[in-house]
Amino acid sequence: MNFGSELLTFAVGAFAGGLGALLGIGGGVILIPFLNIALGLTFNQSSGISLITIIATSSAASAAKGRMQLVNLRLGMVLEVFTTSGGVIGLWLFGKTDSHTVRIAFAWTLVAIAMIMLSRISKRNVLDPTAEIGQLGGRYFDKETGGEVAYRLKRAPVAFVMSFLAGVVSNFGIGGGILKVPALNAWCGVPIRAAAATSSLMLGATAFVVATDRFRHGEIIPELAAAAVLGVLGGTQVGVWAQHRFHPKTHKLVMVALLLSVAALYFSGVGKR
Amino acid sequence: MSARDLNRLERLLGGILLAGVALSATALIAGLLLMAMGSPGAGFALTTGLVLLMCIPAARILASFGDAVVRRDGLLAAATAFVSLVLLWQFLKTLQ
Repeated sequence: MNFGSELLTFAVGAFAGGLGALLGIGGGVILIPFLNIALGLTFNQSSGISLITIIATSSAASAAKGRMQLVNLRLGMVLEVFTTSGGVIGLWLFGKTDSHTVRIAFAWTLVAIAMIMLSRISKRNVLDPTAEIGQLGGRYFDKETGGEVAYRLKRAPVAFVMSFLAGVVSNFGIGGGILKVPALNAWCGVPIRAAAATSSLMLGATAFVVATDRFRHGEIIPELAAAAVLGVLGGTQVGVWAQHRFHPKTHKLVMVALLLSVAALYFSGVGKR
Repeated sequence: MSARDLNRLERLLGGILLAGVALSATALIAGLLLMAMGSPGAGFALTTGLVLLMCIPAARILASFGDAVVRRDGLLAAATAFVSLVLLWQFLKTLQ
């Protein structure tokens, strides 16, 4: 492996970081196929590097100016109980389950979520700013409308179950935002921007569980991980900047396209190494 | 959680995340530069950068736990204590 691999990883990391920060999904869906297919790393090595970059995206995106106001800290911290539990259970489960079955089930789940998002593409989960938001709801200033947005968490058990599942699938190296963001938005009443920002902050803790396990097994190649992290950190700043410039409907359409693309990748059996 | 408490927590967590990312990125850049120069210290710098990066979420959760305890927020204290224990358990496994 020459230094060209690091430069290429840096560039792809920048793209993945931008999209990851924009959508609150971590960017692993782009990085894993690249490392796995283009660079020929094993799936575990690719997902290990991806999880390291997810921690970087999560930390940098959440620390960015103005981003923390979108994060629902209370909701995020409660949901982290379920994502980290899911991450630990997933570590055990993935060691015992036939990987083909898991991949196909995961791909169908993504298709189902994409369909639900499409059916609710024009619905916005915002209440009157003076409305009671409950224990896990939130408020933030919306630059697009120039006013305060309030929302209440609905169907909390759904948010808990989806967060647990997001933790389980973080063992794929994808962080789990791809499950949490659509679920929080479509089923639980959280506006897409708040869902993405809250998910983004939570990704770090979920990724920690699996990344330390990969690190322990020597499955993280330090120089490629460093290049990917530095690329992701640059891309994240662009993603955070772009987030306020996208209409929620565009945001949802990009998410649907990404969900279906990832599902197609898993259906096609890519990355079996 | 009052708006003032929330603001303070947001600033605290933002500071932890920013400092962690800056330290880790510095070590990773140094590691890649040392690697390009063929220096034997490259591996140490890269590993340090990666370990620092992995510690950021754990530091954020611990700070949130401390804040929740000070504010006597039972729900958040319980949630962050649970997550802290899970992360600590994983970290200790890594050290083995």
